[in-house]
Amino acid sequence: MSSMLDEVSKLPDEVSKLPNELSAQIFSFFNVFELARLERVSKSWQSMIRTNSTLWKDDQFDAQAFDPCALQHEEKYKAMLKRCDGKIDKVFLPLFLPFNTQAKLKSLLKPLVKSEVKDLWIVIRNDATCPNHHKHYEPKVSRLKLKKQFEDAFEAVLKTVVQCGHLKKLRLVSVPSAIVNITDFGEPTKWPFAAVRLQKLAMHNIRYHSLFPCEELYQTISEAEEIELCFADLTFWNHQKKDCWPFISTANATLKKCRAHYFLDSPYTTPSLPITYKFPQLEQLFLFAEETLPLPPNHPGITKQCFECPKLKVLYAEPSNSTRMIEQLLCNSIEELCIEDLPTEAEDRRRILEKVEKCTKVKKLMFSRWDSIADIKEMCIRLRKAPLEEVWMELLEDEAMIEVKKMVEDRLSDGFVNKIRKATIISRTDQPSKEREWFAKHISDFKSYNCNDPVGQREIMFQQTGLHYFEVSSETRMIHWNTI
Amino acid sequence: MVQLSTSDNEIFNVDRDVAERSVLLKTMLDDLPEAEENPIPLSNVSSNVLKKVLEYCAHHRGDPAPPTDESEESRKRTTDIGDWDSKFINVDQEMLFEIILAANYLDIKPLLDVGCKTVANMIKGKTPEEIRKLFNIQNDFTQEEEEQIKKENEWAEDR
Repeated sequence: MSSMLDEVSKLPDEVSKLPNELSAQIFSFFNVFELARLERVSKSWQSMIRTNSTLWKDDQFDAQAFDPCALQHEEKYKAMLKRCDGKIDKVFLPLFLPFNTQAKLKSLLKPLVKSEVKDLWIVIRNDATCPNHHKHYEPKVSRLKLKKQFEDAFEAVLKTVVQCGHLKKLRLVSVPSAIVNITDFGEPTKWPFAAVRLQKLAMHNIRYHSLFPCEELYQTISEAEEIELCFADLTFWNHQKKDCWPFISTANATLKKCRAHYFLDSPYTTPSLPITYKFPQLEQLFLFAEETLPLPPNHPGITKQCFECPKLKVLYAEPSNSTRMIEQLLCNSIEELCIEDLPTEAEDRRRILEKVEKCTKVKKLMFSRWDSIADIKEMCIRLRKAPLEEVWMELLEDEAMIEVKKMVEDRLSDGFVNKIRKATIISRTDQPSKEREWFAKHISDFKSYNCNDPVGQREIMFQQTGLHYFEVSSETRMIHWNTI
Repeated sequence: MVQLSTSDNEIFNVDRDVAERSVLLKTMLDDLPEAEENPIPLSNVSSNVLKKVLEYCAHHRGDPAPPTDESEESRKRTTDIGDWDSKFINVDQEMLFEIILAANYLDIKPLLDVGCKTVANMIKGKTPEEIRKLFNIQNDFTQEEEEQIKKENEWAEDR
């Protein structure tokens, strides 16, 4: 009997019996980490998987389930290069500086140029976090040495990127800043990168001037649908005394999602002319202001510039000192709204709230720790006609949460056709609270996270928009938000 | 009506729009008008499999044609399967692979996709040993080979 069983199992299995293109189709549903583990099933599986170079062109990196261990991704990248014959299309590659000399980085990155890579996501970090391997690891080095490490890494990365002539999506993320002298890279308009038309560009803590030193290169983003330009430190934001919006507006015809700083003129720049930036396709806009930026009240940045985004569906903004702009952005197409910290000055406040009242399509409303009880009350009143379905509460005090609860409770009564079905609470603690229990009991789709645990932090960043928009910044924020 | 004859010589009468879910049959019917008169021989498909495949085609007869240009970008590698489809594909392993092969032969892309996704879902989250059990596979690696491959793929472990 047992010998018969043995014979059965020696026959090729159902998956191995399939024609190559079909087994390849099955394996195409797995990311490279899963594929590498599937290679261990049997010799025939190993050969089906390992010899199929197309499976290894794309790491199928899933930002939501990522492991931030940089070393692991370096090994992944090397294995991919080997198995796809150097023809990588898409890769997520975090580089961990202390383990990489510049020479090592150069040789690591060099194959990318030949690979005709289309989707490149590089993260440059001086620390590593990895729950399974070495926990949080940040070697102590002198500031000077760290600066040198970053400069070397930036140089190696940028020199590689400018040689990549097939990019469609480019994401470059770093933590602190370093200055690279771009003149060493040859004539920018002759870079292979100059021929690229990016669909997505995300640069975090990397000055766009490093990659786009001249306006001729702006055409690279002229067809872009997504742009993120985020900086932790304003001093290099204002390098060359330019703001980022003339650059971003190169993509005005195609831009759908954007995340960037306000385009306020900084005190260091000369006031720019009155200008309206028009983005006819823009649907999602995430703006963040810099509290460190002291602007005189009549500064042209506040009074003369504005946006026109008639299709805007998602708006996250802090009006603080740009009332006029937020006023322009608040329009009746908005479905997802977060206005952090309403202005306190009576006139500004009135103008913003009048516009909020006209947003009659808002489905998702978000409150954060910056909102006072009065702010929450006002927003709830002004949006009384909106068909709200979802509320989001991030780090609210109990008293503030009671205000949201009152609004939700009203809307659960019979008079309301649209009921709130979804609620999320982010808090700093797992301690039970009366308000949380109330939401858990009354809202069918209720979630609660503790922002102090890594899963909670990740959820905050991913779910804030429901659009996975923060995938890049979560990388930075998760590990470094408190230090930058 | 179109007549289809299976490998075990059973004849199926089906509406033309149901048969045309198969790109192979659609091409044949378009190119050879006389194909409508005589049964089309499907020597690679047995009657019990064809019955199942036709059930799928009948349910999806009104679906819009899938996009022909499947660019790398638009291809979403999600393993989600619709409600009806997942009930439909809830069959034993042998039938599942027969359906995959038939869908491939008859060129019914959405069905092939459902089949491949189902197999992928069966594999997802399982250890190599569990997969061997699932498909009755013998571990034919020697201990040294196993150590070797484990070492090569160490980067993929313990996530």
